[in-house]
Amino acid sequence: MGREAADMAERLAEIGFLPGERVRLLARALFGEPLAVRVGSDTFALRRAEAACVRVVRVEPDEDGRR
Amino acid sequence: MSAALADPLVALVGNPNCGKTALFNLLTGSRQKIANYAGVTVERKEGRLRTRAGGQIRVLDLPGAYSLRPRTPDEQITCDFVLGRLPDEPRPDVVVAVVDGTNLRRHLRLVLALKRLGQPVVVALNMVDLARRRGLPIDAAALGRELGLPVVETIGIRAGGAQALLEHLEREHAAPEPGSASRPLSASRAVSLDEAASIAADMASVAADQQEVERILGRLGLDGVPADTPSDRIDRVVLHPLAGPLILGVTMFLMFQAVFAWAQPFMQAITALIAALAALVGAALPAGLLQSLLVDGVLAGAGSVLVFLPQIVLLFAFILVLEDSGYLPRAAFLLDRLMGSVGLSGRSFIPLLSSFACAVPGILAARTIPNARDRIVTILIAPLMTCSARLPVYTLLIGTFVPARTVGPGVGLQGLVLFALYAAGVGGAFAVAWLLKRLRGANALHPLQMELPTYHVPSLRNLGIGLVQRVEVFVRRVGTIILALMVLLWFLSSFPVAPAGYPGPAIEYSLAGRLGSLLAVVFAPIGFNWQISIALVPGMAAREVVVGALGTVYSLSATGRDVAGQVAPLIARAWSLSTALALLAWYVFAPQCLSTLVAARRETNSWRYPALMAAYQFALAYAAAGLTYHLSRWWLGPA
Amino acid sequence: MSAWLERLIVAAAVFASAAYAFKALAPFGWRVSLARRLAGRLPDRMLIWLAGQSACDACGPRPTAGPRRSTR
Repeated sequence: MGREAADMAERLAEIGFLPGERVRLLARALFGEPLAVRVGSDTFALRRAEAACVRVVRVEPDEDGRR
Repeated sequence: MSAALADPLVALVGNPNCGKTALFNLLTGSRQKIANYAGVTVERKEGRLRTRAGGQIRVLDLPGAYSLRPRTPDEQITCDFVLGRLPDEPRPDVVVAVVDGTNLRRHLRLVLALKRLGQPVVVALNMVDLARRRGLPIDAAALGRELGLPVVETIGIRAGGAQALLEHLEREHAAPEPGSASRPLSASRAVSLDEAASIAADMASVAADQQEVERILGRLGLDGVPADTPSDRIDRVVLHPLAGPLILGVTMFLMFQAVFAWAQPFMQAITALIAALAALVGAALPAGLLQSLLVDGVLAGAGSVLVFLPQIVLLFAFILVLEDSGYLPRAAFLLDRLMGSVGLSGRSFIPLLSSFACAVPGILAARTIPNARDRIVTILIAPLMTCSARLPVYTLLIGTFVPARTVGPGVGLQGLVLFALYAAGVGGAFAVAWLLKRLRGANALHPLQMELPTYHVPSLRNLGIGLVQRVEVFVRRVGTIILALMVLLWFLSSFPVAPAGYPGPAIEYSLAGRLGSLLAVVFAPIGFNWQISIALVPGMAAREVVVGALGTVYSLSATGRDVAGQVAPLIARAWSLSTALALLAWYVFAPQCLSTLVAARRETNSWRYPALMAAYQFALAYAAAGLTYHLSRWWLGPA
Repeated sequence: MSAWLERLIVAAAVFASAAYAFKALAPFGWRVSLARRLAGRLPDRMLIWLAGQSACDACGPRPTAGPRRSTR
């Protein structure tokens, strides 16, 4: 990971993209970018390059699985 | 002075958009700007709170920060202050950690980081009304026990909403008597500066804090993930890939139509009032110097700028409602891709949008942009956004030269032209940004990371305060700097007095007349006569001054005694349509405001960028005006 | 109204406008050097007014002013 990407990942952690948090994709703009992502009770707009720094696993909507 | 510094110092710290400034306003009785998006406050603001015991507390409002490791210049201010890195400023005696009660998960992490620094921390649990309305079981006392910190409930946007915080500060931290140096909580518990810096820089603590926050939220029964909120349902439409941009376009278009159509009756009323005043002065005073100063200088000059007050108020009403509702970051979201194509990020959108009010706060707001290159480009193109000072110039020329007819259901031609001028400014800004990207190269990674806040119904109180402030600022400007410049211009246009029997209007013999003829050599190729050339000079101080200057210059050159305070009929007779269009094109790009250049100098800390800004704007304006003039003459004929 | 009174009023208005415009528009450095040059001939308050920091009038509320530095 380059310095800039590492920096970006660190920043994402600070605004709440942390292990165990649930994320949900709310919207995508016209050409697939940016994304509106719900994390915790916040919504953030992210570029695809930023979103790529976040590892997610799929959970079923009503299951209380995390991450 | 030393007594003032001994007063306890309270700093408001918290994540962006959690309501720090609203609380600051309640505590200190200030009226700083608040709105529903991250990054409204980019400077530290200081105010004073007078306790009932007669003591004083200094209160500092700081820009929002997500963590104590700053990424943007505005976060740097907050971190330096909290960590005590500033040479002339002591560390705060008390940190008020403001948290959004509807969103404790993120906000509490910063509280834990602040607590580790060892200074006294009070948690202000803000927006408790919203949290309760959403059914969250908020319990300040329980939260306080879990955190080990005092917690008070606040509602930033309601009068009296900071009462609990106020009482807490008075009880615990106010100096017993005014000027007394005793501080109830000494700084000795606080960790040293070096320690604080290393605590702040510790990345591993973020994950640990997260676990602690989870634990606390679990104990308080607040760990549920919110279901579909009304905000989400609005976003489903507003952020829709197709409907979203359409809604944005229609909103902007309606705004400019309304600015033109709704303001008309009020503007006519003010015009009539000024004409009546001019008639009154003309009747009461004998013809002479004083009468000319009052009629030609004050009423025709400053008065003709005042006419535009209704439009300014309408424009700001729209902007304030958009700001308060939380729609602005959504607009940035929708435009992000477009801005990305010219090498900017959506982060540049809000500074650029602020520039529609005035480029100076826009340039300051660029501090929220993390990337240094993006920040410079944003600062450079901010003055191309049509600021409210250009509105009087546009309206005067459009109202005089563009016929008031409709070109479709509910679409007036005049409003359409105004929209086109705003669009031309935006288009020009994009072109310049694109050119800068080509010339200087762009970085590969542009983080966006922009918070999309929950929608709020705009608060009438906030809207009212905002509008009253705008009216005050505008009227003060007309009454001070514009009035002063008009009096000076009147003086320069009246002296030296033309000798008896001078052919033509006396103003041609005056200093201003001669200077105008000199300047006209430069501006004649783009269709400006000497009257316009001379009016552009005081217009450097503020763009709307040009309207007043034209009023004074034409009022003095009029041979018969025209109705003073009405520039429109005078220029309608004197100018060709091509000249009017060229002047409009000039004002889309013109480097016409000293304050903007000074702000750019301050924010970039060099004269290089303001010089570049002035040069490229002058070149663009000259080219655009010349092109417009010659094309329209070729199209319409030289008439 | 006598002619000289009229001239006096007009001259006062023009002078006051010039002073205000200078204060509002001239760069900080110019204002300070002018204030220095006039020091001793004008009262302190007038000098501070001449040299004082002026913020942008267009951009709404100003940051609360900190302690002002005297020019001398």
